[in-house]
Amino acid sequence: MKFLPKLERRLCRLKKKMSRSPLMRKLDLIHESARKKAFQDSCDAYKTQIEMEYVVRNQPTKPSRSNKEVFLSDGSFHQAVGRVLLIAEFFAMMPVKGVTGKHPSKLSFSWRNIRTCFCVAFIASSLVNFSLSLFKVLNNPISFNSIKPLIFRSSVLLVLLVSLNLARHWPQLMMYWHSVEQDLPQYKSQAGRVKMGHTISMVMLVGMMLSLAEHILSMVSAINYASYCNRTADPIQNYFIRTNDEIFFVTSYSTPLAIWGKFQNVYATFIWNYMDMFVMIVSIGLASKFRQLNDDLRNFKGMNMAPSYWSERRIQYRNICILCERMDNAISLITMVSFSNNLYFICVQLLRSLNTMPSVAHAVYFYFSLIFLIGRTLAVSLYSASVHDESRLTLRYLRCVPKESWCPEVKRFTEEVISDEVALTGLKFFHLTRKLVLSVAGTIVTYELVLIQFHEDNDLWDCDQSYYS
Amino acid sequence: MPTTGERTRSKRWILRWKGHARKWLLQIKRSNLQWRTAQERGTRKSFIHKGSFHEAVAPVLAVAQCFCLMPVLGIGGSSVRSLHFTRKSWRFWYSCLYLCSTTLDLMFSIRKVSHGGLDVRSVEPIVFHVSILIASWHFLHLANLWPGLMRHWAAVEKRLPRYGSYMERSHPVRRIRLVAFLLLSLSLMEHLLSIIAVVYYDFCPRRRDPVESYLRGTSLHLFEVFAYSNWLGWLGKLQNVLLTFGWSYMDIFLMIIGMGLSEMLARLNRSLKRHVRHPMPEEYWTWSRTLYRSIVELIREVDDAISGIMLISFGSNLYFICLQLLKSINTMPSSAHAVYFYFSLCFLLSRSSMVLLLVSTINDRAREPLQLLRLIPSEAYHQPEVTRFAAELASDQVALTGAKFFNVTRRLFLAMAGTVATYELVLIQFHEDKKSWTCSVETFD
Repeated sequence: MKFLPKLERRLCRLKKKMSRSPLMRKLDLIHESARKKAFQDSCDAYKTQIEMEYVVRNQPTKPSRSNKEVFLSDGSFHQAVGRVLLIAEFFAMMPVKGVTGKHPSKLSFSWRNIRTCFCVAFIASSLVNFSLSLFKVLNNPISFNSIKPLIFRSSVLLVLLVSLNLARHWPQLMMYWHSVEQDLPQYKSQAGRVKMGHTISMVMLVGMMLSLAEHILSMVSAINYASYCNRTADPIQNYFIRTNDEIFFVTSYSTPLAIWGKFQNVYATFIWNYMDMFVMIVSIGLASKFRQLNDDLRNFKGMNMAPSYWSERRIQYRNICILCERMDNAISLITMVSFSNNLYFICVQLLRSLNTMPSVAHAVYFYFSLIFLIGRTLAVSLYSASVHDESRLTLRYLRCVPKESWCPEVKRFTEEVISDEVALTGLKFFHLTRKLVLSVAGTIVTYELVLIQFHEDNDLWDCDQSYYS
Repeated sequence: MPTTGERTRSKRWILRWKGHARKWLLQIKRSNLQWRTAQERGTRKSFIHKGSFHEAVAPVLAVAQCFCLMPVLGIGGSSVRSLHFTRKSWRFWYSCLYLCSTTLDLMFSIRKVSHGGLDVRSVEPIVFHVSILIASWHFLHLANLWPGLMRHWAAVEKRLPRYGSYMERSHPVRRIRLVAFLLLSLSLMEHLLSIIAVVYYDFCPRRRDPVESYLRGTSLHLFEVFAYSNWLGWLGKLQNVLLTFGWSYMDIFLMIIGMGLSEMLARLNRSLKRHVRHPMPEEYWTWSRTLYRSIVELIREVDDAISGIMLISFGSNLYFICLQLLKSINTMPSSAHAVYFYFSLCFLLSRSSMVLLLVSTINDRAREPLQLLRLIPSEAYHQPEVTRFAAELASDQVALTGAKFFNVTRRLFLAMAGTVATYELVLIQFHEDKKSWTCSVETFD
């Protein structure tokens, strides 16, 4: 009696159908047909998809031509900063995976990643290098000039550690950034969207080129110096002994150690330059988000807008402010290190400019690096001050709100803009505004005038001297 | 026989030339008419001041154009509509030529300075040249913006409350011209004194020709490279005169802008002062608030255009004051030198403090309405417009800035004085009495 339960079920259904009203029955029919149709459609879609896949698989593989969409940027910070982070990864910083992806959700950080391992290994090796130079400095008389390699290496080490920590939080930060960006008034044209990415890549390119030029000039001047100081017969050995004097102060000369020292030197120089670039790039990103909001406000300047428009803009402004604060919390240590480093190195270099230059190669290298240093410091301060400037610009448009559309929401927005101090900070000790540039310049002049009084012209052709002094 | 094609071509050619000739004739006629109207006797109308800034600033700009700055066309026109800027005018190329020659001059002086030791005093010509070069570049850029700026200015001026009397109307114009021409004549006098000081005390024993020794002295950096020739000497002198003028003109221009802007705010304040004690309708407050706002917008726009010049002017004044004060310790070789030196020091000090005071008047005038709003009787105060105006006044900082690095307010005066004193005290410690008038080797080959 196998068919009995089946029959019973059918009977049951029939009973139900009969108990329903005719309208319901009709509705049921319609539902049924719609369900069937949808099922048919999805079946067809699946079939076509399978067919497509089959066709694609059977096609001869062509190099995939990229279409226009690939090159169009959506103006997000994540896309603009991708290549910059890629270069940093190459130099053992910011070990995040998926930086060049289209969407920030592809970002991830893991300790087992090869980049992270490389980064940790590099931190260990620079720790060794740092302790070597500490040893050398402590064994010599300490002065304002002689602690220069120590400060250089310790700041590089600090930045490495901070960037490793930053890499852990980078995916969440970028996701937040993305959500803020989605909410902002969008640019109509591609030119407006591309602008930030273009600025960022130009800054990176120019900065990298100049620092490369500086490094090559430094090598030229060191080679020149080493050939003068002939300690050994081999010129390459001479050069390595000069540039890695903190290593060969402890051990005797060996080629792998020399190469390790050179590698360490190149990477440290890059990281030292990169921290300024990074602060610049983050501030360009933040400033451009404020500008995006301000551009929208400028388009509607002096017009009668609904209160909902203002509350929307206020919430967007608030979101960018929160973003700014989160970014600031993440990078304020890097900012602090970068500013104090620049201050110290400008003082040292200006003081050294009083020395007589032993050769033309030295003079060229020295003045080039001095100008590069001052220019870089100025660029960092001005770019990071632009965040503050852009955030204040909103007030100018709010002042022009006509009488008719003045509402509590606008009033609240205005009061918030007036009372908030939105800027990147150096560990919350100082806000990066344009006024800071003048005070930093004043500080440099004051210290310089004091330091000059204790200065003696030390002969740079002294072969026992440190390379860095 | 010419073919038909040739004939039509020649006809077309003739027609085109006819068109050109007609245009040319029209131009001649127009200029003739202009000349004739200029020759007419002025009626009362042509002497009455309109009280507009455009009218007040015209002669000052005309003087600047003689010295290759601000190549705007149509500054003499009766309204701002005549102003325009084009690259095709000779004035523009004249200022470009000036920029090039200044750059060349800068190169030669850098060459001269780099041969001696670098020092606070020895970089003086470089600072001088660079600041003027950047300022003239800014002026050229400003000339491009000037027509738009003046149109905005005139639009705001039209909305201001009217002047009561003719005297009141002509007062700002006369004041601006007085300040400008006083300073111009003082700077001319300073230049003449410098010439007298050099000529009078020409103690070098082997002098041949007084003109030659003077010209050689003024452009030493040129004759280190080239052999002496008279025309080069005169060119160097011309460049020197132009540079000296450009240096004073920066400050004069800033003063005039400061006076013009603060006058607008003062006119608004006068109207407010008349009305605050009486209960006024809300429309009055809307009017005054929007007027104040548009003046502030104008100030911001002017600031964007001239803040570079402001930074250069304040920076170079600071440097030159430090330098001149340092030099005042030196012994003077003759009374002509002493007169020239103290005159130029006083002129520099008074000029820089005048710039600061006149420009900071804008800030003072912009704060004044807040004090006036406090006088409104309580039954009239509680309107949304009045409270909004008061809140805006309380929180805004209205002032011209130096490239946004500092606001020019009265407080800056003390800060700058303190800075000068500090640097002076440090610099004195390194100072040695250097005779700047030795007959150096290069003066006589």
